[in-house]
Amino acid sequence: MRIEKCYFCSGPIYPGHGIVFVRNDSKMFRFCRSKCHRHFKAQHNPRKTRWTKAFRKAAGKEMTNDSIFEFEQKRNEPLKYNRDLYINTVQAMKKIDKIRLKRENNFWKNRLRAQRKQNLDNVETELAKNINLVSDKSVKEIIKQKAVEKAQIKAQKQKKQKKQDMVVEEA
Amino acid sequence: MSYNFKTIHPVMPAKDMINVILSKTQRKTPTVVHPGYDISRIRGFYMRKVKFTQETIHEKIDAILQDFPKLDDIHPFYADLINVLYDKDHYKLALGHVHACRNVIDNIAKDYCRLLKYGDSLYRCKMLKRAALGRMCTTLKKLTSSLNYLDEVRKHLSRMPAINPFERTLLVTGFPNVGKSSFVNNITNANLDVQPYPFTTQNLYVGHTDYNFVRWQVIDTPGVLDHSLNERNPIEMQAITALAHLKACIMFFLDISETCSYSIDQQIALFKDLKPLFKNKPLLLVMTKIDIKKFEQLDQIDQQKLQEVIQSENVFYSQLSNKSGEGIAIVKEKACNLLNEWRQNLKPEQLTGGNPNLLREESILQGVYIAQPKRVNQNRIPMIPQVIGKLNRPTLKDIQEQNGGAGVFNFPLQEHFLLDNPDWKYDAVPEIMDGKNIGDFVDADILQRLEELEKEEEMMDQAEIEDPEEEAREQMLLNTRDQVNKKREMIKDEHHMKMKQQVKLHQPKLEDAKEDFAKKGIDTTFLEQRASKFAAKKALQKQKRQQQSSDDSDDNDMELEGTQRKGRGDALSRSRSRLREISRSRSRGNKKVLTAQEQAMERMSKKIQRRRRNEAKAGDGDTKIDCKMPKHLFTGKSGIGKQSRR
Repeated sequence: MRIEKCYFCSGPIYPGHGIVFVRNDSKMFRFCRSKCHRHFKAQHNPRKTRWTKAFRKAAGKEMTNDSIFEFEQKRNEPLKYNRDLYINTVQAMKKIDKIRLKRENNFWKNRLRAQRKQNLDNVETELAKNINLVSDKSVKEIIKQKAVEKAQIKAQKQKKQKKQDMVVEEA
Repeated sequence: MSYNFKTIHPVMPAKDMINVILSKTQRKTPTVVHPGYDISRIRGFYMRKVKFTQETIHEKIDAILQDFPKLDDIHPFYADLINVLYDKDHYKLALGHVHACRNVIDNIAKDYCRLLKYGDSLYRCKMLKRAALGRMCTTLKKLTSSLNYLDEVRKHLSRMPAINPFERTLLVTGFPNVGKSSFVNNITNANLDVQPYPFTTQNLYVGHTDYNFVRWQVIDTPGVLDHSLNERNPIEMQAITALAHLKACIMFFLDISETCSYSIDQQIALFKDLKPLFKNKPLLLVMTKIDIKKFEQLDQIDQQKLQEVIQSENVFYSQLSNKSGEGIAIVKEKACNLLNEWRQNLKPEQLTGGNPNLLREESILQGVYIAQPKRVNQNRIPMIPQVIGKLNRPTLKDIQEQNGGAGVFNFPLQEHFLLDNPDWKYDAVPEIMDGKNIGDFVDADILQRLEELEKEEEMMDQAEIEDPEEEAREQMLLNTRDQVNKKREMIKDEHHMKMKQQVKLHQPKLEDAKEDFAKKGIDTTFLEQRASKFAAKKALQKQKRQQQSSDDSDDNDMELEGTQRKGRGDALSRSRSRLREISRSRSRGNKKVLTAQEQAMERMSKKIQRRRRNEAKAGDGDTKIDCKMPKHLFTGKSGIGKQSRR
């Protein structure tokens, strides 16, 4: 028994599910459900279908190059059964999974860092507008500080602009 | 030349032949002729018939003559045999008669065709043709007896055994009841009749055996009696013919026990009689029925006599018993060897009669030597290793039977697994865990790699420590944002509520307009009076309403009103509330006289409150056909469909 990967969405195919299509050149295509099968028959490119893992990996939304993926590989030559080895493997699998999750979360966080920053800025400006409704004092201070900073930056910019204008005028 | 007379076609009796020929003439030639035709055409018509008949008869007779063997052309053995069986003269006469008949018919046809050339009317030609056909049929009728005889010959010939005079043959002769047919039965696959009375065998019979990988004929003859050639009957003559013509090894059977009702002396006498027939042929004297009486058990005199014969004629001799089977193989061997030796001395042309195929066969066979391996250990016993006798453990089959039999028992394949630790044999190996295949992770050095990975992870952790303060700050800001949004929502809701309650239309007031009227010089006193009246009224009503609302304390109503007002225009909501006010006051016994408008309104309100009777009326569920003639159903050619039905 083996959990296969769906050709289209790269999801797990448990035993007793899905369809296998064998092409004339003897390449096997496994599908987890009819949705993937239909997309395949309609000749859709999984790399362009946004909800598939193939797209996400190709578009850099998921972690691809990492040493942790070398642990899970389809092995063609089975090893002779060794109880200790299997016990170790099962324990190792759990640890590896934890590490993998951690790394994936990290990756996503990094990817979305810029977005998060932008989000925060928006939140701050919003709060600055409705500062009268804010009850928490510490937060109020933070916002005020931010506002002050912003004003400073703006002032600097204006100065720069003026200088440039003057230069242009002189010229 | 094949000595198989089975291919002779059956000879029709004369009557049938005539019928066949005449019907054929009728069918195969044109049938219609009229007196008005051209005379040459008429002549041609009848000539054709005559000629056709002649040709048909000619063909049929030719066929017969070809089928039957010519006694001069076949092997003298067969010629003699036919002579013996069917009388050569009679046979030749019959065939000659048929042959002559053919010539006669040809002449008849010729004559009448000549006469037909000068026929001057249809009638005359017709009579001539009739005469011609009639004469031909008469000649055929005269063939009746010959044709019958020929058919009989054919039947008998076809049943004759196919004796090949050029093949290796063993010929079995002797007195009747000596044991010839039994011997042939023993050697070959033949199933000859063996009976205690003499002349059980009345024809020649052939059987086949193998010796030295070659096929041999064994010919069984009817018994021969001891008298002169003239006195022999046809049955014996067959035997004599065979003896005379076939180049075979002759086996003369002598019954020692004398149970064939002929003494040894008589048999020896016959033997001497037939001597001229045995000239130049290998001869084997066979003493039969030794199970009854052996040679040693004979009288001295008989023994001496036999010894004399053997010595004088210088023949080979042998003994056998058909019943017990003693000596049969030896006899066969001897006879075959004798013949083989003798054949080697003959020229190949003599052996094969000039047939090139047979010549080739002979040359090959004579040159063939079959090598036999030298067998040291003739008796070869099966080799069973001694270990097998010593094993005492139960076999797998026994175990299977113990545990329920063939369909029930499943042999545990793990028993023969070769693992590092035999305790692991019966482990249930896990394959899947947490949505992953364990087999994908199994690796000899997985622990080492895991260590490396964990080290890596530590390093990464140290390198990249995100500011927890920052995260906390972020979280706080987001929380406050949520709170602030909630507050704003609440404020909005309250404001909305207030606004709804404080709906005020801008109504034009008289004070504002007074100045304008004064300027224009319009008297406004009447208007003022009226306005004051209305104002008083309104004030009163307002008071009442407020009182009622406080009395009722219908919270639901208030809410309803509020929600309704939210959606609708204010005028409508006002009028509705007015209605409610009126009906309520009237229900409390405040029966005022209503204006027409008010009455109408009251009626309408009651009507609305009544339930609509929807029975028999189309509801939402009833089909609504938007389009009665959709284009896609009413376009296209009609086909076989509608228009063909009327």
